[in-house]
Amino acid sequence: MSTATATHDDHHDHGPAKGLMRWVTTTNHKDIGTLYLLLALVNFFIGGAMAMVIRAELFQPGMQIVDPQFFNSMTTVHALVMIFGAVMPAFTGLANWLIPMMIGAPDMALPRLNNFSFWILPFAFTLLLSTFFMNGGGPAAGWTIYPPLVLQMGDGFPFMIFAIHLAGISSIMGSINVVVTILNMRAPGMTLMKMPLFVWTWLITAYLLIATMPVLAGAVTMLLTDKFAATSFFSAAGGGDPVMYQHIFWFFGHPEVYILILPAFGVVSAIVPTFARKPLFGYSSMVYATASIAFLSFIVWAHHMFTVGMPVVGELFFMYATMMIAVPTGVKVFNWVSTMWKGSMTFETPMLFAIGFIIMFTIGGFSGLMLAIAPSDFQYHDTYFVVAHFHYVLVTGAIYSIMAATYYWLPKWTGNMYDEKLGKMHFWLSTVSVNVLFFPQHFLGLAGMPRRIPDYAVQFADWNMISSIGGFVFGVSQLLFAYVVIKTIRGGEKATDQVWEGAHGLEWTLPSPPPYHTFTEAPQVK
Amino acid sequence: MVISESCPDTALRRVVIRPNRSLSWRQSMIFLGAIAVPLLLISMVLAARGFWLILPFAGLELAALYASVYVVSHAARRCEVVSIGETTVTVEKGRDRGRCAERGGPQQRTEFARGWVRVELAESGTSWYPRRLWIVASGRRVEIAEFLAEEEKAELAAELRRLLSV
Repeated sequence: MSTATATHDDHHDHGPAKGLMRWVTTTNHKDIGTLYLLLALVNFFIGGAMAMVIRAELFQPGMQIVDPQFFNSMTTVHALVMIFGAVMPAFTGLANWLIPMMIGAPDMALPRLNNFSFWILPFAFTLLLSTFFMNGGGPAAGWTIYPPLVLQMGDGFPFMIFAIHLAGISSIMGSINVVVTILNMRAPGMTLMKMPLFVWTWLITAYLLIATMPVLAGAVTMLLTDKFAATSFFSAAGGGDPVMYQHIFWFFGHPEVYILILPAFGVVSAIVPTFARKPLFGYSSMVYATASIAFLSFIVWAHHMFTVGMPVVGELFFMYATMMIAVPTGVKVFNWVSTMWKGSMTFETPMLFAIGFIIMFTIGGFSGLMLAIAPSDFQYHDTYFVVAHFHYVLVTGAIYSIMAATYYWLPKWTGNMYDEKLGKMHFWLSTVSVNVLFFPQHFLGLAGMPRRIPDYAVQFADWNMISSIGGFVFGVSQLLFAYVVIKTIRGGEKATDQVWEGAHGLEWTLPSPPPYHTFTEAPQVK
Repeated sequence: MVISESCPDTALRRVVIRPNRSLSWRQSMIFLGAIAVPLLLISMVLAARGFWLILPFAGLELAALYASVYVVSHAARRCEVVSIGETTVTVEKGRDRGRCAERGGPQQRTEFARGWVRVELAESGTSWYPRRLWIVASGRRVEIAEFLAEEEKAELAAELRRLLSV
């Protein structure tokens, strides 16, 4: 027996490490997917707790609970934690669990890189949250960290920049892994145009991440050198240009918005056909629409800064380019509705969340169109209308899709069915409360209430109180979600391999739960 | 992927085993170019305007992406050949570009006396790990087809047993 063979013996003949070390050293895509999803859930509650502080302070006009500096920290870190700590890791967790199973691969292409990209994240967020205990407190300049305001931050500034770098490195490594896995490890017969839409949307998302992350890394590093190395990239006093930071940030930031929503499109495109019991309407147009949205996301960044001062021709370009995004997005909504049309529909919890997504994401999309109109944006800019818009897109869009995905694939992951009654209760509580929470914010914004303020004029009191009540109910409803997930992990009615009568795809050919190493049977792609 | 072939001049039967590779090196480079060109363009435009710190990050990231694509493509070029002659069974392992022996020949070669050769498809001892396929003879053993899926391993084991019994 050769030495090499003996080494392989040692590797293969025992199971995964026991206890905590299994999770620290694992290179298995399912383990790492689970870790990502758990981290996302923890961060969802941390970010959610910050949202509760914000809504508690805004329950009534006047200063009640926290001081303005801490309030600003809450809005800033709530956004950073939810974007980089909850939504992105949740989608990466779904990618880890599902992409190898969907394309017929045994694992991700680079398993050790996969382990590193996950384990960087807990340190990144610990570092970010630790700034609250430093002199000067946590970041409070908004998640966009515009200079010169952000340069006034206390001792936590370099730690925040380092945390963003770490989260960025993790995202890049995760994206590289996804791209290489999808391109190189598809099962024979799994051509690009046969891939499930979730895989397609993630391939395009990974492309966007790889293309934009260095821009963010460069921008925040220039902030760091402006503060500590006497450079003047963004300091007008030293000949720099603070507005240019906004251009650079949003060149990353707008594709980032699509990074947060494209995988959601993939999830909904998997769920709707299952419960409509019809194939997805217009598969090819879905792929081209996703690619078109990704392309357009690179040429619309300045719609975030219409009021900053730019030539009219620039405003017109960014206005029309932004409005064009409605076309491929409309194609998607049309295709989802057409898939449901005359389908044999049932309304299990994943389908409820998917339909909730389609309706409420469209509301967010329409308010986005209103914001795209440059002359109107001068009224809406930096008001609660913007807050309502992006929460409809990110909460009832991205987060609803993540919840839909969890209910949809949880029986596959755990081998146990979730409690349908509690799932539906979670959906209805969330859907009623989330609309009570965010819809009144449209009215507040249109009436002129600025965002990121701890106090407001009394004419905004009623809608703020209603919004806060919605927020508290929505927050409590999510505890029910955590309970359902834990209950399902611990046991329940056994799930079949296919789980859902109308489910199609390679992952449903595997046992529930799937074996530690995917594909005990060779996948057949026809 | 398993290809079984016979050499008409001799009694030799060859089984060529390769991992699945869904993208060629050329296609990988096209994809890399599709990411690199816009990223470098933007980075260079910003560098020209004085915001040069984006360029090194873009370079680092593209280097990492190239290295990852290279590592995976390199691993996907693994190749194993089991040659079954009249008196011997030879297992060769190496890398190839299309065919096994074209680039520098096999990196590892093990020869067994055919009369003693057994094909073992062993359970791993735990359901967490896949089964393993061995060529065994006279106290020596070589593992083959580590990269194949379970069903493919089972099919390969059956095919090897059939060829050995002819």
